[in-house]
Amino acid sequence: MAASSSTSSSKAVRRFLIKLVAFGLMMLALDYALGSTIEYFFRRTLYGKNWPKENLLLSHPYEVVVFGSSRAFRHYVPSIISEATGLECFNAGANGQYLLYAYALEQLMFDRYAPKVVVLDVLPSYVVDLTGVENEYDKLKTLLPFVYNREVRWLLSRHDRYAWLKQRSKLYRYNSRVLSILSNYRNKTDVTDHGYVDVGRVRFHEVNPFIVDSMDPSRVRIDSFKVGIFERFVRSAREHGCKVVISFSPTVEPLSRRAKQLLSFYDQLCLQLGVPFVKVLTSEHPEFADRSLFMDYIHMNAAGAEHFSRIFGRRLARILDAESENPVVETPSGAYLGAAEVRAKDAAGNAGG
Amino acid sequence: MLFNSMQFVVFFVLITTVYFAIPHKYRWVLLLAGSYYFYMCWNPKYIVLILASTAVDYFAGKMMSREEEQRRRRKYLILSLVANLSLLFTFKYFNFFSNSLSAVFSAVGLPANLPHLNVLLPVGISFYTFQTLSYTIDVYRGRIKHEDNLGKFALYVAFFPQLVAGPIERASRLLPQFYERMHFDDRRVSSGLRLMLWGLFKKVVVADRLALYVDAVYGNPSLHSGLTLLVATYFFAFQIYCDFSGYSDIAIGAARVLGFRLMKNFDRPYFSLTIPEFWRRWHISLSTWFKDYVYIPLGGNRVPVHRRYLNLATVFLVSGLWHGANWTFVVWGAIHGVFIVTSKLSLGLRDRLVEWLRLPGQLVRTSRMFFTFHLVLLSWVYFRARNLAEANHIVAKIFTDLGGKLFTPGLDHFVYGLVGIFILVLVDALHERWQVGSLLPRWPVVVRWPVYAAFAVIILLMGVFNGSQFIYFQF
Repeated sequence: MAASSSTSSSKAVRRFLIKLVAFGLMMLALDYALGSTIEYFFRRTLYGKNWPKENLLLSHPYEVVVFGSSRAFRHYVPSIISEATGLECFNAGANGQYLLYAYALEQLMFDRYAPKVVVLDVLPSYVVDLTGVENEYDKLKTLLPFVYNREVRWLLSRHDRYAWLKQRSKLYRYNSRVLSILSNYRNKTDVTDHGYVDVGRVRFHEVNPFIVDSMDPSRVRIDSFKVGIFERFVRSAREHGCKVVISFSPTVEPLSRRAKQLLSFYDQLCLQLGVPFVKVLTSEHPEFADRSLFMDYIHMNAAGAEHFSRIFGRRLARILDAESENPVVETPSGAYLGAAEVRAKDAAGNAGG
Repeated sequence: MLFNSMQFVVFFVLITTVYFAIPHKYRWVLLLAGSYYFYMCWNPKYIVLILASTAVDYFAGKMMSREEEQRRRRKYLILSLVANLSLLFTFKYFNFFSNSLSAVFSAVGLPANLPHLNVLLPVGISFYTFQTLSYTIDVYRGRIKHEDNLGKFALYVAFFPQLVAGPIERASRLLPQFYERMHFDDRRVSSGLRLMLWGLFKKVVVADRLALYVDAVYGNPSLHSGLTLLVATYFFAFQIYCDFSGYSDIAIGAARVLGFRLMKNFDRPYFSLTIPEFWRRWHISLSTWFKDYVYIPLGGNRVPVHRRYLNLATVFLVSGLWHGANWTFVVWGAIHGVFIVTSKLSLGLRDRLVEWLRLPGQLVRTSRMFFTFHLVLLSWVYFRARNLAEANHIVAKIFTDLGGKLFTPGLDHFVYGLVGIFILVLVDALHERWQVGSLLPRWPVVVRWPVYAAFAVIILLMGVFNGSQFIYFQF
């Protein structure tokens, strides 16, 4: 009796396994076929609502590319910057994304081309550990269609033990994107100015302070991994022959002590790496204290963005024109000092005092 | 460990494989170890609470079985009740009562500095304490024999598929199953996997998608129009149903794969024609628990009518508090108490009215379903809102200012949510009318497999995989 029950059980296991394997194979085939179809449409999608900005960036070799978060997206008007520098500019800033995304996007870009200038607009929180505040790694899923890139794969796998398995599914790569891909496929009109979207003169709302300003002070810690990513961002651009500029765009309110401390941290980093850090601060440009140029505490509206882009464009042009091969620091007179000059100046200052 | 995580998939595949590979006599050991591991993935320290609850109730059950005299048995029942309810009170309700008392003292001008416990709410504490309490009460009443095997009793308390969010099983149903020799039955396993797939669909495609909208709106209700608040409340009705019934489906399906039969917890509740029917179809394991262990001991249907209604209202008030340590849940329970009493009181009148109007049966059914659904919908506002003031604001805005612009932050999310609801309602309606869920296994493979594949594709393309918790974990 026991033997017969064991036999029937093993038969059931065999039957089940055969069905499971057959169903699994069917799912694999379906995943590949449907996933490839969606991929076909996705790769040809450049414009429209919720469009994949990555595709637009990769579609054409731009000369200046601005990376960053929503602040970069809202503040840098490519046409104005292009006019000032004479170089074709693209705004690759993305809402809700931070340094990790910027780095991944930069790496995708280098797979296709290397621009002359790479700009990274920083947030104070870029190098801060945001565990428990924001799930940055989860937001990177938008890059799933680009897992062919080693660095993208690496970043996506950092906080997910099973990422390698999920990345195998072609369908999962387009999770939550099918509607926008299908609706944008036929859209051949670029309503953006090289990635920048004019929001018009949106009125000011008292929302959106910097993340670090709303964090518990005891939890604001520098994340060494992100500092490493920042350095990789800069070094990688250098290796591709790009000039790197780090920038910080204005806020309507004066910066908090914490934000200032973090900006000083970037000062040090930029100095070490020998890259210029262009800060357009409200303290130096009081016109930015005008709320009519902002839509919230940290995001400018179109009027603010245009004004800022003119200032930034001029400064960028000066950096590019500067004779110093590797300019780092902007002096009060508007000239730029190279890393070696800064070190020499510091050494002289120390010796003197 | 969440059911909607890869970690659980790996865990479940491993447990199932080893479970059917080892001899029957060691299987409960594997399940117990697996269940404790499952719980400890969340917070290893809190396993102590489950162990304590297990030890006390095992001891109480054993001692009760040795005593002939009811009076002596009662003291062990009291021991179990006090131990379990104290744990529940300390970890779930202490701060709520402390804060509420402080508020009362402050209101009357008395200085109040009552203590506040800085503890995490243990996941599933309300579920496993109720499950284990049902064991001691049933042993006390002589309905079941005490369990001699401590290991199997521990497994009854901690059985991983239903440990953190039910269904709240009775010892008389689950404990004997741990003695049954479970064979691998491919049809049963397929049926379990099918249910798990359906549960996963409900959770990641419907509940988690709608949660994105609901959280955004209910997080800042004062910023939104009446129309947006109404839409968010509709969405929440489907979110909570899919979140909780999705969990139950995965739990029942996982247990079924292993050979265990867990009780049905949801029976398409939004198709109910009356509020009492809704409660016979929503969270069935909790409703029957309250009926068996609170309502009937209070007198049940044997007491005078006014007392019966008072008991019903009391049960719903307690049920509200069971859901969470917040006045919003108490009000939610009270609303349902009022609904249920009103429903029972007005049933005769409503039937006479329908008879007098001579309305077509289908129209009456549809109207009743519509009306019942909207009463439940109203109560969900109190369930979801962060506090009573916000809940009142939302209700007032919906009833007095139902206009304004509809908030659609990402139209895609909105559309995915609607598509999810459509599929859910369609499947539930087909099942309600023709029991398609039961017919599906009899269909040929060429029909069945594309259906499964379609659901798998929808989950991959439309699911939200942000590792969000199940709402009922907090209870």
